[in-house]
Amino acid sequence: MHFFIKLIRLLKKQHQPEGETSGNNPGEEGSRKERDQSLILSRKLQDNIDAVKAKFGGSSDLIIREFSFGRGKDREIKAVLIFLDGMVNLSTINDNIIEPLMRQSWFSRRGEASDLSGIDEIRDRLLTAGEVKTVRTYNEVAEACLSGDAVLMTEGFCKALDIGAKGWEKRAVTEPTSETAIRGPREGFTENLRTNTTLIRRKIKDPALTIRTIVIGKRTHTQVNILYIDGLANPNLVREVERRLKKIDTDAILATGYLEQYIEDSSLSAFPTIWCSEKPDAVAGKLLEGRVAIAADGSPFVMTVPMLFVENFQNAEDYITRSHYATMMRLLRLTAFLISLFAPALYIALTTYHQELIPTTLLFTMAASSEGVPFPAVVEISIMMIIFELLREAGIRMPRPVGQTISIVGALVMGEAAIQAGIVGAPVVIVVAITAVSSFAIPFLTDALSLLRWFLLIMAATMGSFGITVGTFIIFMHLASLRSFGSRYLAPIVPFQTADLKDTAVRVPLWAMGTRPKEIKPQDMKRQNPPSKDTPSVGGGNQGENL
Amino acid sequence: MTKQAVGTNRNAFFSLSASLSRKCRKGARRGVMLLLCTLLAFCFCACSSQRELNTLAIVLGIGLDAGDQPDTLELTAQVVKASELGSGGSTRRSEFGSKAYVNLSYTDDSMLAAVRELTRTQNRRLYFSHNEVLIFSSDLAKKDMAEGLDAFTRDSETRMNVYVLIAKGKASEILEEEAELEKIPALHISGMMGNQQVNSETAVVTLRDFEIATLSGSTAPVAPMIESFESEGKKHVKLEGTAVFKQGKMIGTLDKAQTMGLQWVTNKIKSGQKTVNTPWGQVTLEILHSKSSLKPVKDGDGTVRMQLIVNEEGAIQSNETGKDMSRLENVEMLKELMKNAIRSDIESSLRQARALSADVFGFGDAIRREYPEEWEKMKKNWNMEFPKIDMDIELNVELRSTDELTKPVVPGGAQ
Repeated sequence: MHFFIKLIRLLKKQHQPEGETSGNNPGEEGSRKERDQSLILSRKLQDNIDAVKAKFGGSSDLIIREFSFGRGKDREIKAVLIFLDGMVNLSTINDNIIEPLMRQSWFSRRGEASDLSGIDEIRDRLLTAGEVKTVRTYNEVAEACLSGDAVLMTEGFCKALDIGAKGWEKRAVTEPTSETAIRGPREGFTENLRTNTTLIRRKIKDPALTIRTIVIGKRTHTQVNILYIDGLANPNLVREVERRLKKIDTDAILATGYLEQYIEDSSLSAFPTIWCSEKPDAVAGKLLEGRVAIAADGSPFVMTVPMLFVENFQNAEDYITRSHYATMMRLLRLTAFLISLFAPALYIALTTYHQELIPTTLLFTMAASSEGVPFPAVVEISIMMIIFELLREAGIRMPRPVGQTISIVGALVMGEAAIQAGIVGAPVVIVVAITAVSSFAIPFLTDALSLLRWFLLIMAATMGSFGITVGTFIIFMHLASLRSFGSRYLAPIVPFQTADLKDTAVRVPLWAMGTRPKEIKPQDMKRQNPPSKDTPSVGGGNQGENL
Repeated sequence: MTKQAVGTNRNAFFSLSASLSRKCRKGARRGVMLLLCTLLAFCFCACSSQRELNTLAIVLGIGLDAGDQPDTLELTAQVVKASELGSGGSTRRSEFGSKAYVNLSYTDDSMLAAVRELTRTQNRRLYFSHNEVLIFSSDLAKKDMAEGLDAFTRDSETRMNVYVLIAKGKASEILEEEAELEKIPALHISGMMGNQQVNSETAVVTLRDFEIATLSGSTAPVAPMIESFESEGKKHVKLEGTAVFKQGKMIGTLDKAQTMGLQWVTNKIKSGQKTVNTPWGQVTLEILHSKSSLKPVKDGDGTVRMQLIVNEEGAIQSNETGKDMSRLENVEMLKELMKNAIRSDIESSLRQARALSADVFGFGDAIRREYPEEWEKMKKNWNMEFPKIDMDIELNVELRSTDELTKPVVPGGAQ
């Protein structure tokens, strides 16, 4: 009790200074900009080289290629090409930058050409690289290098050229490991932001698909992209996403999971309020419903907001398989959710409080297996649940060959040895196993469930089925109070939205999904015209996937 | 968890940051309130009735006998030994042949006293929720059943759907039978009771039925009788006849035919069979459906009589005669024979009920529902009135099929 109050006070304290610093931020930023402005490139090449070297602290991967070009000794111009090894494509450097400069000698008399025309002439007439910008400050030079560009500086000019030569080792587009497809597309996102946005763009060939970039992280300078379909996504939603992202004031964003914690509505809730996926088709489906996607460089997961509770039970594959089967799977997942949440708690409530509710013969079996077990039922089931969580964690973290060993050991420990040794009863193992299997059927809620299960278990162990009822009430009250970027989490069930039940426990055929989800408030509710009566199947399918 | 959730509402979309700290405070208060409510819930119950499975002695059958001393009774509780029975932990199962139950007996002044006394000899608490049968010895039943009935009805742990039986000998002996197909006698008996509808020769009575009959005041409760016998050195039990009660005391019995007669009247016949004698030999008729209705009617002179209509449908189950029983005249004959058989059962039970002056059929209740004024006059002297009430019996018997044979297997029959 006391602990909770303290915790809340602590949280409040943490919030306060955050607000203050964010208030001071604009001024600070302004002064920083002024300072940057003073660091304008010098006309002297050697000064510039020294400054850049100093900025990178003499890092060994900083390559400084000095060369000169121009015809004749007196007309020679000293130049230097700076880039980070490994970040650039060397063939671009060689063929499109150094070769044209040194081979097709550019001549100009020193001093005659103004700064502007001189450097611009290099850009306009000599460089055959695709992406060239002019930069003026040391910071810009450093940023260009860090993002994988090559910077060309020449003697006598106080400007430099930022030449796009990005090219680093990338993981190829492969099948996602967390979500496997049977009939759906198999490509998955990679760690490269541009690849990811391209994968989405290739699904939605519409100029209205807008990508906005925000750079977050004082040290990591992580590129974060906001994707939405203009004219479909609610502009308020887009603004809100942007506002929350811009508010982030941290030094490092290493994955979308970092962002999630900064921008989600209730980061203390057990339930996820931001959806994420490794599959471009799934994200494209969400975008087409009017949601906003957030992708960050370095993360193969793309998030979408707002998220509704029903999305935990949806799967990209649902829209590809036949609707009856998809409906059955949805119901199965719902059952899995209930089993996974309640099974251990119900077992404890039944065996320690309400034995009269167990069928007589089943009671004998349970009583027989609890004969000689040294612990109370709740301790027994806790032991097994901890063992299960351990095995799961160990199985995930270990390399795959070792992981298999763990599962064998685990199966033996859980399945046989524990029962034979009389430490736990067989029904407990069955209950924990069913719980575990069920929780894997809904990967999104696995985390939430493994926490809430303990909560309900404690309630059941202390108060029986009354405790389960109280616990369930608390969970549902919490769920009903959750919001995700302005959308009510339990919609379309609470509040009840009849039209959107089409994609909850049942999944109607695609041609019958005429409208987009109301709770997301898309600008354009209509997805397609209702099918004509004679040929119902013609109406659907041409609107692409939806999710 | 809840703190943050409550703190964000619908408007958070537009004005989150502006009111962050205020919401935090509000959310914190709500969170504390919620926590308090949860803690309050503990005051209501918290662990009070918690008990582990291996601290329970699961009672499956109760036998009540008259004690040696006057005004005492002997309680026998059949407790299951789960470790001998369950499939769990196959390695721990003991050698074949040991009993899967133990009968705990104690004699004391009252039911509850006996139950309490048992805790002085056993480490586990008797747990009655799964009790299946309640057996009174006929000695006790003839003296007084009220105490046992009261205790088992009043307690919240015991159930009303236990089968009530009357043992011809000692109740504790019944619970010692050596059933071949079941490990626990109480389960064997309750299983038998559940199966009695196939012959309809036993009145299946639960504690609830028994109490309803008792509480009506006019109806005489009945309960099936069970007796123990020995065959090939093993004790067995069988159901035999029905005990009739009045004022909480057993006053007489009905035999097998009379029991069936009783069930025809009370619309309890679900299935069963009757063997009738034709001029050529025996034919067994199966009862497929039966529905009977009992209604009082008033004569012109104001006397009330009962009217019983029985609609029965049957089929030929076996034919020993060698005659083709699908022929119309034979069908008519069989129907007539069936009518006579049913009629004789009903009349026999009526005679016995009159002799005992026990309203086992529930005439009184039927009259009270139909003619409340007449009932007011009759109820004071119901003991005398009941034997005088006449019953008209109307039987509608149908023979629906000859099953899968029309002609006998051996034409001409076995001579």
